[in-house]
Amino acid sequence: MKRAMANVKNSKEKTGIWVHLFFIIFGFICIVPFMIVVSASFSGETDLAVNGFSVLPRKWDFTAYAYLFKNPETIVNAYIVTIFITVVGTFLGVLFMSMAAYCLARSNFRFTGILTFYIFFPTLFSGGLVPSYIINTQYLHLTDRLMALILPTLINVFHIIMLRTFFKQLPESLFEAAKMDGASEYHIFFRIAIPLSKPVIATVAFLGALIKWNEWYNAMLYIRSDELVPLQYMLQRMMNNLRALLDAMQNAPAMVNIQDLPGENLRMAMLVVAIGPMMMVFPFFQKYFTRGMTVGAVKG
Amino acid sequence: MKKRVIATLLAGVMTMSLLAACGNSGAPAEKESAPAKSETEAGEETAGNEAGEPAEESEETITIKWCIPGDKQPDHDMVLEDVNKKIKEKLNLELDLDVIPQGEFNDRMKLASTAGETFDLVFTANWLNSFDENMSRDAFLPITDLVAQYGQDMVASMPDWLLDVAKVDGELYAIPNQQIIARQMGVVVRKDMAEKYGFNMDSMKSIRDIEPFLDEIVKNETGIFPIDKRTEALYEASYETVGTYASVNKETGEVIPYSEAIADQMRLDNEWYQKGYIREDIATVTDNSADVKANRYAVSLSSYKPGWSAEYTNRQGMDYVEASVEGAYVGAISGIETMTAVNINSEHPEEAVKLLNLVYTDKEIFNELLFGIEGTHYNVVSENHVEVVPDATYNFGPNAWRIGNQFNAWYMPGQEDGLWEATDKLNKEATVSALRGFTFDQSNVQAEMAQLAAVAAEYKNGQFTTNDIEAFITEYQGKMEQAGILTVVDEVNRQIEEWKSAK
Amino acid sequence: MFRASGQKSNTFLEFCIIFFAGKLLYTAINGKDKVKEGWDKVKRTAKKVKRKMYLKDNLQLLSLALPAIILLGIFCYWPMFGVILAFKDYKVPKGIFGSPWAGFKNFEFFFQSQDAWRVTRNTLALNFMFIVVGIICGVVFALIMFEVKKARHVKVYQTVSIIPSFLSWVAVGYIVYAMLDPGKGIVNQILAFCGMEGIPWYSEPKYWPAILLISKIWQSVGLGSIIYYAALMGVDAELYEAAEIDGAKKLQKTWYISIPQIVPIIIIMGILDIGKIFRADFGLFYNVTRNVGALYPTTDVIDTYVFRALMTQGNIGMASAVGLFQSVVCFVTLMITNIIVKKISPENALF
Repeated sequence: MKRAMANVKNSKEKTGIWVHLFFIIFGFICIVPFMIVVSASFSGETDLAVNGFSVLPRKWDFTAYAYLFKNPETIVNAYIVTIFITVVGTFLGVLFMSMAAYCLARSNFRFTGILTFYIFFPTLFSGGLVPSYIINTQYLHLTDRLMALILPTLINVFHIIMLRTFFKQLPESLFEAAKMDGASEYHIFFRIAIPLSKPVIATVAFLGALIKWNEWYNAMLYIRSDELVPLQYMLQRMMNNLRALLDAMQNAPAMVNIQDLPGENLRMAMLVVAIGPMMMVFPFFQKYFTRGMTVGAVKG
Repeated sequence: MKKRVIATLLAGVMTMSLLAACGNSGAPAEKESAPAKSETEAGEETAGNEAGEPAEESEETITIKWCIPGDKQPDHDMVLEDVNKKIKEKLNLELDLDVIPQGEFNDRMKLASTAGETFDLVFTANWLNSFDENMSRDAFLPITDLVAQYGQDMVASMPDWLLDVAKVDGELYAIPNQQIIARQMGVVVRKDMAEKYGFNMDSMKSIRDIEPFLDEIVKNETGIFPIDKRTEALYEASYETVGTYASVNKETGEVIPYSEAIADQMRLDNEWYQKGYIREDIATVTDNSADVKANRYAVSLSSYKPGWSAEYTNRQGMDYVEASVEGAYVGAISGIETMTAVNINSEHPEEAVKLLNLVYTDKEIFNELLFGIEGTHYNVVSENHVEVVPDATYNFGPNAWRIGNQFNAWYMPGQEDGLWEATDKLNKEATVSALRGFTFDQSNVQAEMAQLAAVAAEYKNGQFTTNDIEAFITEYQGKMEQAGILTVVDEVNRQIEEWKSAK
Repeated sequence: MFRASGQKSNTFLEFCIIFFAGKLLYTAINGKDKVKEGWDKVKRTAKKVKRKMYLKDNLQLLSLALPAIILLGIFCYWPMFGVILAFKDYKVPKGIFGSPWAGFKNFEFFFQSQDAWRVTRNTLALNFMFIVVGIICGVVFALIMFEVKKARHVKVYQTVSIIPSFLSWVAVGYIVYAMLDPGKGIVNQILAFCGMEGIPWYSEPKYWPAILLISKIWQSVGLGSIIYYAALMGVDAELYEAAEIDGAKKLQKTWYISIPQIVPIIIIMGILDIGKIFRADFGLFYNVTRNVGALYPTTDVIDTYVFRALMTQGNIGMASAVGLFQSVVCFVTLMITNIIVKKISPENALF
């Protein structure tokens, strides 16, 4: 067995053919429905109503995108807002969450039980929307501030627990050794625990970023000025406004030619516009899933 | 060592900044040193909809905040500023019209009202920002006296029965808007189809008279659906609904469960589906606006109003003709579809009613709210007729019925002179329900109402596709009974008796 | 300089004792014969605490957890007073605290409902199925991904497999409809091509647990497996090398090294999911079934039922009541699960 010496990691190993086959088939199942969505976004609404969805557009039609990009400045602005809250929210969130998780994972921490309970309890009981709304608007004055989109969702308990589970698996001996050398807990956390946990931190960061990216409900409740509207909420609003326009026309004569207005195709175009960037950043997080950089590497 | 200090500092600063962001609950807004403020500062000055803000200015001009559902126009601020000059002249008030997307209106208003915010006027109806639900938590201010004092003008323009819908225990809680209120069944038919198959609209006495025409469509036309059924025409011919689940016979006044009264309508629906009049995928279609747009329905069965087919023709780019079936009828709660109420927490209820009265009666102000500024947003075609400029950045015209008296609006292309008068006449000449003035208070049967809502939604559209309609009806009625429909009917009966003896 | 400080803090000690007294109470509820055992534990721990108290470490650690503690305090604990809404007949002018009490009236509509049992059963059964199948699929998926040796390939496969997670349930609903539409649907066209009769999918409730399961797994497996994959990344490579020297086969390595190493994360994910078992994914159940009444026998869950019942007329109290009920049930199931896990492998329990 030559590979027994494989210190240079597994890159020389061959992947089994069945593994490739599996992923090719699965990839197909994932991509085809996505293509249905993309194709629907490029189809005319009437076409969709008459012929249903298809993998490729029967006839190319850009009304949905034309409607979306009617005011390019607003959509660009919405992208900027979303990127801002995603980046700041994810960074602060991951930092605070891993700090707390580390604390829970350390064996010399005495309050583990009670703190875990404190952290976990809110996932079970919540006061509901009304009290949150009252607190956020009347006591914290978060109305029309981006903080309203960042702070309330900063801590995701599930992610803390995930991080904690990973930190717990780091060998105790590493910490002991650092202690011997006189390192503080802060030092151990930032210099040892974090670098060793890059894969899970990247995972949590990505999951967190995804949630922040898709956030719109808080924006609906707290954001008033058009300049602070994030992307998802803006798209949501466009859809709603279109509905309202169509409804209004049941009651009054047409002011615009309704044949030009998009419908279901707009819904799909919104999806494409919104998820594009997220799909492009995924590889950035993936970079931290590199094999062999964890425990073994440090110990050696 | 150094790094340790930095790390400690870092953690400390984070914590501090957080504390700073969250801790100053009671402090005034300018003290708030938000740690990660956005670059866009424009948001900061947007006049608050929050508590306490207008108080500072009260000596000069009071601002009335009015929340309505709709699509906020790009030039909203500009138009509002101009309108406010006129309002200020007349009442020394300012209007802050908050246009909230319809899809958000329920959630936003429920929270704002529950949280005790101080907006003044709010749109309410049975289908959006529910009047009953608001009443159940005392969210509206009784305005009988205020309207008697400041709102005589708007009341004068109404049919005398109109205000009854918003009266609970003799107190008035909202002002219904004026538009088509009387309900009359009718059909709009594609003119080419009607002509092709010689469909004589005048001969229609009952809704079933349309069946031979639909048969022709099924037989000869492909790619179009015979009928888009939007109302329970057969049911409405003999019953009106009170308290959502109790049906009152229009002639005898007898109250029976809705699930019984609707049975014949369900049989008809099933028959029509089996005959192919109704589209095959009716149970799974969530949105048919694309089909409507594409003129894929030969007939649309809905509620009639004057100028209806002209509107269709104008919108659809194809000729339509119309016919009404039953006589016009004003039900016990007709008019609840669009109303304006005063928030219980309003700080200026008097001014709010004054302003509502002004918008309701002043043609100039009302139409500026609808169409914006002349020359910029619309052009006058002839007296009372306007045309919106292409790509107008302000056009609230289609929303007239949300903010006051539709009959004061200018006509848009496709609307003929005298349309509002005709509609008003239809309203005023309609048969008025014997129960007019009765409003059902559901607070004793809330649990039943919720359960009934769940069952009703479960059986919605099922009557079309079922293969055994009798079994379906039996099952449906059984479940409605178990959900407490009889309790609701008893309660309705009791309240009607009480109401009658009080009258 | 950083020597463990020998200082004792009395308040701290008291705190520990109170905490363990609580634990003791719990033991007492669970079985009287364990009381003595519990006492011994308290004594032992107290001794240990005295001996090994790293006050400084604990302060440092606590300061690390502080931001999370504060944020949760403000945004989660503070609003919890709202729970009393479930017992109130809410009136705007009187506010939350001033409104009259309603007792259990707000709970009536749900508990008296003829459908309460049906939706409870569906919620539990479907969620349980999602959890079990979801974890198995996620782990298997991660293990297969782990077999891909080239980083380039991993990147491509992973990216492709998380695409469905980006789709909202609304979009998934449309995709499922494109497949199952009785007339134009792809599945029925395939069936027709094979000479079989088409199935009216949207009127046959019996197929829907499977359809929902497939939709759910399809949508979440790519993203869900990432956490297990990250866990596999952490497995010490030396273990595999040692196993190879011993002549272990691929499956043996998976079974004896990979899986045991990721068991803690599997258990934790399971516990976390069970903590949500009484709450259904509304988007999934509402959009994918297109809210068709005929499918309710197998697809109606608590969240869709409540939505339907309270959509137009429902008041805040009733909604809070159902929310509270769900919370309590989740709390109980979670506690039971945690106790079971604690019995089997104490180091993997949540608390």
